[in-house]
Order: sequence, then C-alpha cells, then structure tokens
Amino acid sequence: MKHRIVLTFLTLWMVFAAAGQTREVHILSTNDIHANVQAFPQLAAVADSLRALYPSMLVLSAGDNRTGDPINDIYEIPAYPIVALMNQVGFHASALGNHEFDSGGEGLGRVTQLAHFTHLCANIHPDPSLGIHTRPYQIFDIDGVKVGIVGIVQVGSLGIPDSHPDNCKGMTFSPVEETLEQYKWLRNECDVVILLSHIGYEDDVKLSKDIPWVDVIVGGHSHTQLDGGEIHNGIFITQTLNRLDNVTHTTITLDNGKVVDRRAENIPVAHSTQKNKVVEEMVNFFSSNPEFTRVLCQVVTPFTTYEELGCMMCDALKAETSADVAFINRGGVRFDTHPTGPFTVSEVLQLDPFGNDVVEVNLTGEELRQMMLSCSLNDKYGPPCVSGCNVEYTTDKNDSTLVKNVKLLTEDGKKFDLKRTYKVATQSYTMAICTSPHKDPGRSVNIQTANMIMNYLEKRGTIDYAGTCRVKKSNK
Amino acid sequence: MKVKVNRTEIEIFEGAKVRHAVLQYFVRRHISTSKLASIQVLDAYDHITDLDAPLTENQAIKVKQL
Repeated sequence: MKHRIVLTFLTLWMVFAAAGQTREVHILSTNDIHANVQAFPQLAAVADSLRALYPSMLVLSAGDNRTGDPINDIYEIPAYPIVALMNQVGFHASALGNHEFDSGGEGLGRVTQLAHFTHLCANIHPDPSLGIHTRPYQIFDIDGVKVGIVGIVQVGSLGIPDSHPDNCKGMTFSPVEETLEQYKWLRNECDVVILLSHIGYEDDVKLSKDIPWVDVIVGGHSHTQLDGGEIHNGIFITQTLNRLDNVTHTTITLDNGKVVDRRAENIPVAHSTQKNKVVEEMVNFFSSNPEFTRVLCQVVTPFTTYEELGCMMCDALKAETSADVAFINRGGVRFDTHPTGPFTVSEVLQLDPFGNDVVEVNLTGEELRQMMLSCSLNDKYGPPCVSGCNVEYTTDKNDSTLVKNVKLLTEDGKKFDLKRTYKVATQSYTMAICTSPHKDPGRSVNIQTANMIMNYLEKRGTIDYAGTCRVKKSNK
Repeated sequence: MKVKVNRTEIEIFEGAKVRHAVLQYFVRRHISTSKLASIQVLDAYDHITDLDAPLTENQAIKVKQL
C-alpha cells in the first residue's frame, strides 16, 4: 500500500514536470512596411497589448522598412523616422530588404548604426568603410528557449538586391541557398530556428525543400497575404501583405525542447483605432519635417501650362539619366501653373505624387514614334510630354482628341532618324500603358522620378520655361 | 521579362511591379485603367498580392474583379 502511494505520487510528479517543460515562443512580425509611418501608433498599440500577455515576445520585420513615404525617405537622415519608430515599438531584429539600399551604402550604414535592433543579413558582404552594421544571425534567449534567427536578402539578376546599382557599391552578395548552408549548425545550438527572409513567398516555398533545419520562415518582399501561416515541406511560412495593413502573431510551442506546434493569426493594424500616444507624437513630429519647404530652385518666369511643367519634368529625366530622349504621359503632370519664385520639395511631390520609377529603354526612332502614338491613345490627358525631340500629332478631322498619326522631329525641327537607336528615359506608368512593340523591354533604374526632378532643379538653380512647347497638334 | 496575367503572356520592363503588368493587361484588353481600384490580384497559390509587389520572371498572377 505504501509503495502504491509512493508510485502514484511519483507518476503525478513526472506528469506535472513534463507539463512544465511545455513552452511557447511568441513572435509579432511584419514585412514591407514601406515607410508607412502613419500606421506606427496603431502598430505600437498592438505590440503593447500583446506584450502585456507575452512579455518576452519577439518583434521582427522581414525587411523593406523604408521607401514609400517622403516623410521618411527624404528626411535629413533618410529613413531615420522609420528606424526611430521601430526602436520605440521595440523591434528585436529586421532583415535587410532590397529597398534598405535605396540611400546607398553610407545611408544604410547610418540607419544600421541608429537602430536599437539588429539588422540580420547572412548574404551581404559590405566594405567595412561603409559602416554597415549587420549580423548574419543572432541567438535570442526567450525565457530559457534559445531562438536562432538568420537573415537573408533577395539577389536579382545583376547579383545585387533590386535597387539602383550605385546604391550597392562597395558590397557583394552571395547566393541565398549557398549562404544558408553555412548556418545549419544553428539547429544543434538552438531550440527554435527562424529564417527572416526577404526573397518573396514563392521563393520561400521553393527554398523550404532545402532547409529542413529551419522551423519558421518569417517572409517578405512579395507582399503576399497569408492566412496566418502555411506549412510547406515541414516549414511554417508567414507573410502579411505590406504597409502594416496587418501583422502576424505566431505562437511556437515546444515540448521538452522540441517544436511541436506552430500557429499564426493576422492582426489588423493600419485601420485599427487603438493608438499609442507617444508614438503618435513622434509621427506628428516627423510629419512636420522642414525638409518639405526646402527651396530647390528659383522660377524666373511663371509656368502657365501643363506642357511647360511636363517639358521641365522630361528635361530632368533626360539630364539625370543622360538619355537622348525622355517622355512621360501627360496625366503624370499634376498641376499647370507655378508663379515666379521658389520651387520647393513639397511642390515637386505634388507635381509628381505617384511614386513612379524611372525606366530606361533603348528604342529605334520608329519604335519611339509608335510608343508616342500608343501613349497618346491610352492616356486620356493627351499626347505625352517630351524632351530631346519635338512631336507633331495629326488628329481626326471630327474628333480632335483622337490621334491618327505622329511625326517626330529633332529639337531644332529637322527630320528625326527613325532607324537610329536612342536611349530613352520614361517612367513606369507610361511604360505600362504603351502597348506598341519594341525589342528592348526596358528596365527600372529603381529611382523615383520625383527624386530625379529634385536633383535636376537643385543643380539648375534657376529655371525658365515660359512659352516652351514641344508638341503640336493639327487635324490636316 | 515575361509574366502571365490571367494566363495571358505580357512582356514588361525589368523591375516592374504587379500594378504595371495589370495596367498593360488592361490596356491590351481595352479595359479602363480606372478599374485598377476595384480589383484583387492573386498569386499562383491564390494568395492576395499587393499592386506594389515586385514581379519576377515567369510569375503568374490572376486579376479578380471585386
């Protein structure tokens, strides 16, 4: 009888002891914030409420924290607002996304130095002079559970992440799969291994076959909305759209040091009404950035037409890309008058507010002519604005908005060589609405047109476009 | 690069976003570009994808009217 009581007691003790070894790791993750500073008060409120329940929760970003809102991107130290806000929310780590490179190596260096969280990227090899502070991996101790996190960034066809090549000077990048092979040992050292990935959902799924030593991929880059998370090849993958529409709360359950369950839910953020007041004040401070009123140049004679402002925008694209010709769809010019005096940063952002990227394409004169015609037919605002040539449009006799033919002329009104190949600069929207055939599909230079216009105006100092008109229409 | 929108092959510039492939698809099909505001884009796995998402070579997307 005595033995039986002891045995029962021992069994119960063992059951409770085993139950005591069940642990949970909680992760709040996001991706592709794209500088949505306005959603940070709501994000902070979500993080605060979850942290009240799970004080040791990890807060992670899968990269592309910046690029998407001038409040952040043209700050005196570009991307500082996002970093300061992420510091305040209590992020532990972020992957490097391809847009983290948009201010070049030195810009990224400053951002990584100002962050209180770690930038994780195993496949970047920066020149030490750039001061880029990243680590390939970091091991966090979460209430006795060792969580190893390794970061990875997308590498495009040029061997660098998708940013302007100048932004990646002084850095080399190694292929994702080859790099990750070197971090398999994390499996033996850690209870949980997480890949903080900025390569996109479809590539995460492909990669999952080759990295069975990983428990969870917190992914970004493809702006994919998953319903919490999904298991592919035994690996749990999460990703949640972009711009903080939602965040993902992942719960990893361990029993006796082994991962036995992984679950995730989406939590709405951007449209939530709960806000953290301190973070809201920070956002208000960053939004009143004096950079927006900075004077770029002086306007000598007033702008009075869309054509004059469109010519100025095209001149900027042509000059900044050293192209032969530049053109943009007329609908991309958002105001038609500007008085004499200062032209400011905020006025450029009003003139060109869509965040279009500059696209370079090599076209024969004939391909260019066809493209101008296609653009005219597909943009309700009329024929495109140009630089580097003049254009004559023939419209329908009964409908002056219907373009029937296009004739290109050189800047001094002479015959345009339709057989020669020209380097042409345009913007992403214009390129997307032109359906005429051309051999070279073109490429984005990963710089926004507004930034090029700002650079151009600043270099010019003064501008005078009174009476400039490069497009003529007739119905004969 | 070549991508597919609703099984239609579209050739688009390198570095294009989902928005640009859908615009090109709309223009080719004579669909008003203003419809861009009332669509949902799905990836090959039927997940919602944002219009500002980057595109990769041979990616297939589907456009669904809301």
